[in-house]
Amino acid sequence: MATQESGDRIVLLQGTLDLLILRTLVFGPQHGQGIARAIRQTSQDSLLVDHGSLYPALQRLEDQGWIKAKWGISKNNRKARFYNLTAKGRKQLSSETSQWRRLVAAIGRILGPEEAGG
Amino acid sequence: MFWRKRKHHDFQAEIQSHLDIESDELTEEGANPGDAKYQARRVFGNVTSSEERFYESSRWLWLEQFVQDLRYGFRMLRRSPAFTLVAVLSLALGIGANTAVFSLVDAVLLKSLPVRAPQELRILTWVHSDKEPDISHSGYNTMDAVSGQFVSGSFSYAAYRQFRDTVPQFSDLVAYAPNQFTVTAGGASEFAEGQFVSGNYFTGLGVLPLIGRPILPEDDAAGRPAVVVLTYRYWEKRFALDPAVVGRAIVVNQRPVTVVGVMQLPFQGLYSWEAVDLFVPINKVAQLRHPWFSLSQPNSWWVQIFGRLRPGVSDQAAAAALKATLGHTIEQFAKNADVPTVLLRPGARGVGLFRESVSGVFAILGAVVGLVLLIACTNLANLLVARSAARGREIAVRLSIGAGVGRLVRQLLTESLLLAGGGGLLGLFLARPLLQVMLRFADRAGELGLDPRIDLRTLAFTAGVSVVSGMLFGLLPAWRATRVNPAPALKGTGTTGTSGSPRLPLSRLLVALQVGMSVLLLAGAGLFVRTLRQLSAVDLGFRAENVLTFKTDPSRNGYEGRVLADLYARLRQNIAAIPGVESVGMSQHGVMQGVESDASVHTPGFRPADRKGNAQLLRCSASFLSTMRIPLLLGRSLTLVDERTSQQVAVVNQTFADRFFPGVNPVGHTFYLGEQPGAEAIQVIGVAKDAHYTDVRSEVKPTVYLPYTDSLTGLHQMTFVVRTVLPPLAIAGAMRRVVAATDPAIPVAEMKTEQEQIAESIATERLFAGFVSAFGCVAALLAAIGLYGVMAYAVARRTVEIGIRLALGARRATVQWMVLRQSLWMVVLGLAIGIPAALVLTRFIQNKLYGIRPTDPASFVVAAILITAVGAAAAWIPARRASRVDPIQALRNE
Repeated sequence: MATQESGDRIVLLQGTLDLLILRTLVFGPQHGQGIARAIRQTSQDSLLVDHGSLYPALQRLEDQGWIKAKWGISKNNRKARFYNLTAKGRKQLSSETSQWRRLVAAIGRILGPEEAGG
Repeated sequence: MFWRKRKHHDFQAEIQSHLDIESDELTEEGANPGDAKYQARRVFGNVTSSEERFYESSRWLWLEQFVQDLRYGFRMLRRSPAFTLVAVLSLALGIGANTAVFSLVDAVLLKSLPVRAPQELRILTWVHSDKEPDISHSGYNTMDAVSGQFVSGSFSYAAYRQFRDTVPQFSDLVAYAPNQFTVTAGGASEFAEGQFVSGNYFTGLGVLPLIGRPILPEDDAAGRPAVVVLTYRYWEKRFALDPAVVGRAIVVNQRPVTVVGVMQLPFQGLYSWEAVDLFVPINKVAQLRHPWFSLSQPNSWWVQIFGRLRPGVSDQAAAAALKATLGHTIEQFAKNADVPTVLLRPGARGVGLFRESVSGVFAILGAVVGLVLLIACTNLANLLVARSAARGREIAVRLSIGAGVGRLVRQLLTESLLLAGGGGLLGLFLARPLLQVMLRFADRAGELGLDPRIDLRTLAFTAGVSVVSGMLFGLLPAWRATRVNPAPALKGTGTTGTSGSPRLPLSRLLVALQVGMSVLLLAGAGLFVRTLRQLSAVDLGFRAENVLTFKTDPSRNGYEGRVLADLYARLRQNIAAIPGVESVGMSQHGVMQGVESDASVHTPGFRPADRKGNAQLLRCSASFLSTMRIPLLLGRSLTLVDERTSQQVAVVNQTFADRFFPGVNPVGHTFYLGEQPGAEAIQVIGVAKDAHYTDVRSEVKPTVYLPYTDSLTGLHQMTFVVRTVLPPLAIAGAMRRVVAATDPAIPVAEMKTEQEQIAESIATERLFAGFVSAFGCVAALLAAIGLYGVMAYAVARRTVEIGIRLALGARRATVQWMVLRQSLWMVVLGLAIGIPAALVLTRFIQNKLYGIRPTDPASFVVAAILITAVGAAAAWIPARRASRVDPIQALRNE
């Protein structure tokens, strides 16, 4: 919902959120809000995470065994649930990343140079 | 262990922490704390939706919902105990009956033999033809269901040996031959059903003994001591499960034989359901006094064979190899005969003689119990439709606050499945007694080796049937229930409306359907009951009251020829001396036992024409006809002198006289039996009135009563008939004592009254009559409940309308009639469905009926009257209630 408010923000493609979460967690454990914020900031505000999807996605990744969660204390002294990448998650990330790269390259080839797409 | 991986409140805490952190950061960035909190929430989006999505992503959700539904279902069912009781009981009856019939069908028709790799087994048979070799045959002939060919299951022992040694397509070939033995143990002599088996029988089949050891190949050789292996049943029946029996010597056919082992319970030999008591090595046929089983003569065919086909070998290849080998053994005694084609039949389920006719019986039982379950389901569907109409308000509330239709249907279905589960569970407990009742009908003599049990297969069947019926009666009501329009239902107009409900036509159709199916069952019950009455009314031609019968066979004790004939005479004399005995007779076959001897008859020289045809033979004592009270019409009866002299004489029955000597007094004329040249002419000395011989159903055939001494070499088993002045069973003990006093080693078997014997001979008809009547009544009762439910509900809904009618001056009788008329319409509709269906379907039971047509008007009329009466009785209570409505009360409710 939040993503649709502004014209220059992009609606996330189905399935890409998982990839982004895994990628974000490479830098170390993070809680949900931190993940959302990191995605927004790293994408220079072009990607805004729908929180309605974020938590089910985290749950899903946890069920798959790609991430692990544990309650801890955030830097401003709040209790928060921190997510951590597992070894299995790391493997998943690298395979999903290369898949994504191939997909983007393939779509780019089909669409052609940017000027032609107009 | 856990329903969900994460608790809900844990998730809520996480979201709260998210909001807190977000608002902290916003505050740090310069927003004021109040705005920050609001903005954090705005950025997050819909918290509730997020929570819901988390909730639904749980993989245990369906289970949690199911548990919820179950709890709710339990509560709903507890709130209406009468409904629950009717539902569970009717389902239990339906499912229990189906389970019972299934376990019987499973035991008789479906189960494989309890041997190693039963699917590899093949039964060796050969196809009868016109030019088959001339052999002496003992065993079975049967129609092969697959090829439609008439086949025999017996070979010579020489052929078996050749097969075993020269046909490589089989890894094992085992031989056996069924035979009756006399076993003397613990001071009593009795018949036992046994089998001569080849030495590799048990090892080849891969069956293990419970205690001791099986018969081994080394036992099956000349000169080795005779051994015997018992089946579990016989061990239980005769030796009270005494393990010390192993190693003991028992006397079989007057020869000492050592018991070496007892087989495990399920193994009963290779017939599917005929009980076997013991096994002895096939090499001992002569030692155990078998009169004609021969190990050496190539034309004596009595050995039955099972083979274990090697993997990858085709049946055709194996059969061809067997035929080639069979040819070599036939050449030795019949040069010009055709070598019969060998046919391999699947052996996994045993020989299974009469499987087709047994299947017919089961088909009827199965149809009946299936119909009963269908009626129970229809009944429940109907009650549920009415209930869901009554619950319209609840469902409307749930729909309007956002319950999904799918979720609601699921919940209602859970309730149905709960009922079905309860019914199935109770049905399992009912199945056992039902099974026992059926078995007692089907196997009064306890001769069948049937061991139907409620095992895992049965449980799976019952569970399946329960779920299917739950779906059957639950789906339609659930689907309809959720199609409520919430607005009027909530306004309350749905429950007291004056107009007829659109739901009712469905209920009425369901009731009519129930009535129709009940009529079908009742008509069937009528047909079977009338068949039984017709059979009981048949004039058998003899008097069965006060007759006790038993079988014996002293020939296995070494008596033969003239000595045996004299023993029989002495036994008759001694029994006749028992106080209370009026007379004693004896015949080779017992009457009404379905067994007969027959021979071709010709009357050379008798004009107008040589007449040929078959006649039944009954070798009997002179006193047989008078003891059975078969009246003599012409000439004289057999006498003791006829038993003694070599003069060939016979009494014939009236049908025989009419067939072979039409229009003349046959006394003094002669005829010949069989085709053998040099046979002696037999002179007719008397004509007896027709009497049934083999069974009640078939027409009396031409019958010849010969003195049992006419052929002393073939003399062995006899059935005694003893007419008493006392109740017959009162002298049973005295009779056993008298026989034992004559020779304690002489067996007395199957002692029962002639009336019992007759009842046994029509056991199937009795089973049908009892079974179908009982379930017909259940069906009628269920139809009554259904009809009552619908009418009671209709009257409750129309209370206001009825109140208005009464207030406007309608007479109470008119109101009563209005309700009754509606009920009768349902019954009439049901009859319109049921009667034509019955007229079509009863054709399939035609061959099980006797003396009536499948469209027998009496049966149909009685069924129709019965169901109408039941329907009227069921409608009477609501009709009365309608006529007693108090107009003021009714209108005040509005």
